[in-house]
Amino acid sequence: MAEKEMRVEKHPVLGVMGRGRRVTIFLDGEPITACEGEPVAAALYAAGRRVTRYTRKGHEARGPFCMIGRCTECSMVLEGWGMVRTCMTPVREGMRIWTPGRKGG
Amino acid sequence: MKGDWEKVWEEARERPVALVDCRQEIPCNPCEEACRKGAIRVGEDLCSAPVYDPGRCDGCGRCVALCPGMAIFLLDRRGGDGQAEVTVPWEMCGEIVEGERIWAVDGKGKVLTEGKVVKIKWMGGRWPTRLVTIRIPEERALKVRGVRFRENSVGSSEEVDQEYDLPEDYPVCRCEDVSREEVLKFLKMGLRSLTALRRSSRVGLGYCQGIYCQEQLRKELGMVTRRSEEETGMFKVRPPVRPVKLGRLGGVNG
Repeated sequence: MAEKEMRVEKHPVLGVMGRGRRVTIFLDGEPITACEGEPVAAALYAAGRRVTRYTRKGHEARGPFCMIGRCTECSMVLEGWGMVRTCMTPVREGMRIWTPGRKGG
Repeated sequence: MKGDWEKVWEEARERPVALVDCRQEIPCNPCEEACRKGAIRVGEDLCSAPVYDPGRCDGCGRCVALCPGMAIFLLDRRGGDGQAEVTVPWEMCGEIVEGERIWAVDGKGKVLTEGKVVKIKWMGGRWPTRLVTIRIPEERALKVRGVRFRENSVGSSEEVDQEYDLPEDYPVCRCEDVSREEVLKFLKMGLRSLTALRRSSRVGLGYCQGIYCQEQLRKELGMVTRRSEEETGMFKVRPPVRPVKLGRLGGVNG
């Protein structure tokens, strides 16, 4: 339900937005439905997941901030690759991502 | 650039003139294509900043609509009554109407003053950007970089003139989780160079390699040392700018 509300259907400049096919990605092992090709951060946001990582020292929750690949707040671990900026990483079927920095985790 | 603005300011007494505030040397030249008078030139090197001649501008506004960075504006002081008309590009959802009262904001989104929308123009064709012209006191006109609906902004115009005072827990460095308080602590200890601050606080050593934090760090250092941004300098940049896996350099995964 949240998914439909969060994705932009019609953009003031880009027009009507096309969508990739529905695929499943895994956040900390949990399956999440996403659209192929959209940024991982967008898929998580649409699924209601706002926390992408926990800070190194304070272990505070952080979420996507700049959305254009500069700030690194949305960095997560992509299995088989390493740290990625999820706002710049397109969704591919079956990709497994992990939330870094959780206290005690 | 400053000299240009003085010229823009003078020319704007006669006719609307473009104000080009492009600070990024990025590979981009729609402004050059947009100008039919040849007033904006990027030249052979696509990465160079545009060179702008206000004298040749006829104020048509095509560059305002076409600049993807929304870094070009129109200034019109023909009224001569202490008011100026500033035209900014608008690419947001939501209806904006003529006659509406709206906040004029600077490049950082800080409210400069209240303005009145006097004209909304479409460039025609399929190009979606609208040109919004607002009327404001002319002493603020050179600083305007955008507009914002009043209900989305600060509550009253008394707050307009307040400078940003960042809180102590402001995250200067997001990657390495360094607050402004920690940076100030190192400044109090007497560190006076970007390199020393970087090594002590880890600001700029994180995943983003200083893209966000550098400017804030330079500002804090500049405030303590009372030096200009040029004198403060920049981080030494050593490639690669982004963390790259060794395997990638070695040909694995492209």
